[in-house]
Amino acid sequence: MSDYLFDTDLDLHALLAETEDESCGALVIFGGAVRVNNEGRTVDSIDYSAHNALAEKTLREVEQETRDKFQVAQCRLVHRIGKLALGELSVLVVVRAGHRPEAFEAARWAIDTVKKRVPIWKEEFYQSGDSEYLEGTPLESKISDRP
Amino acid sequence: MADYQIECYGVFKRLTQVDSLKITMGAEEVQIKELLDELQKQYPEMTDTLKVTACAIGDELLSRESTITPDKTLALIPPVSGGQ
Repeated sequence: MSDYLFDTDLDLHALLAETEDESCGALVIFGGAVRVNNEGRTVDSIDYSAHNALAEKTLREVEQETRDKFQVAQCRLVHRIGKLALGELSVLVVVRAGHRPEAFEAARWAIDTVKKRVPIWKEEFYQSGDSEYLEGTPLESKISDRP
Repeated sequence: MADYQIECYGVFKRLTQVDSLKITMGAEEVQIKELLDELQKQYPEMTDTLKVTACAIGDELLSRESTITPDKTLALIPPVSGGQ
C-alpha cells in the first residue's frame, strides 16, 4: 500500500534491514497486537481503517519528530489496515540510537504519539457477534467553534 | 445551489451507513463550520461526535473557519484510536 500503511502482515525484518546503522548500539522494537480482552469483553478481531493520505503524512511527521526530539538516528513506524485476528501485529515501532535510554524513551513517545495523532480507527468485533468503534482521542488542535 | 462532498471515517460510517455524503448549500464557497452546521441538521445522530471531530481536505487538517468549495472533498476525522 505505502511505506507506512499495510494490508498484509507487517514485516519486521524489512524494517530492521532498512534501519541498519553502525553508529547505533541500541535497538528498541515495540509491537502492538490484537488482544482477546478489552474492557470486560471478549474480542474476536479488530478492523483497522484509516484516512490514508493524512495517516501516512502524520506517521512520517512523527518519525521525524521522534528523531529530532530524542536525537535518535533511526525511527520507523508502520501500521496495519484491515481486519486482524487475535495476536496479529497492528503496529510496529523501530528505534535505533547510540544508547538505550534515548532509544526506550523515543520508542515510548513515538507509539504514544501515534495513538493520539494518526487518523486510524479501530472497530472491535466481539465473540458475542456485535462490534463497536472504540472511543479515541480528538485531534484537538484543529477543533474550534464546535457546532 | 452547490453540492459538497463529505467523506465519513470511523464511527461516522456506522452512524450514516455510507462512505460519503452530499450536502447542498446556497453558495459556491462556504466555511467548514457552516457545512457542519447543515450536516448536523440533516444527521442529528452525528451531533455528539461532530463536537470532537477534526476536518481535512486531502492530507491537510483545517480549522472550521477555513472555507471550502464544491470541487474539494471534506473528510470528517473523528477521535483517533490507532496503535495496539
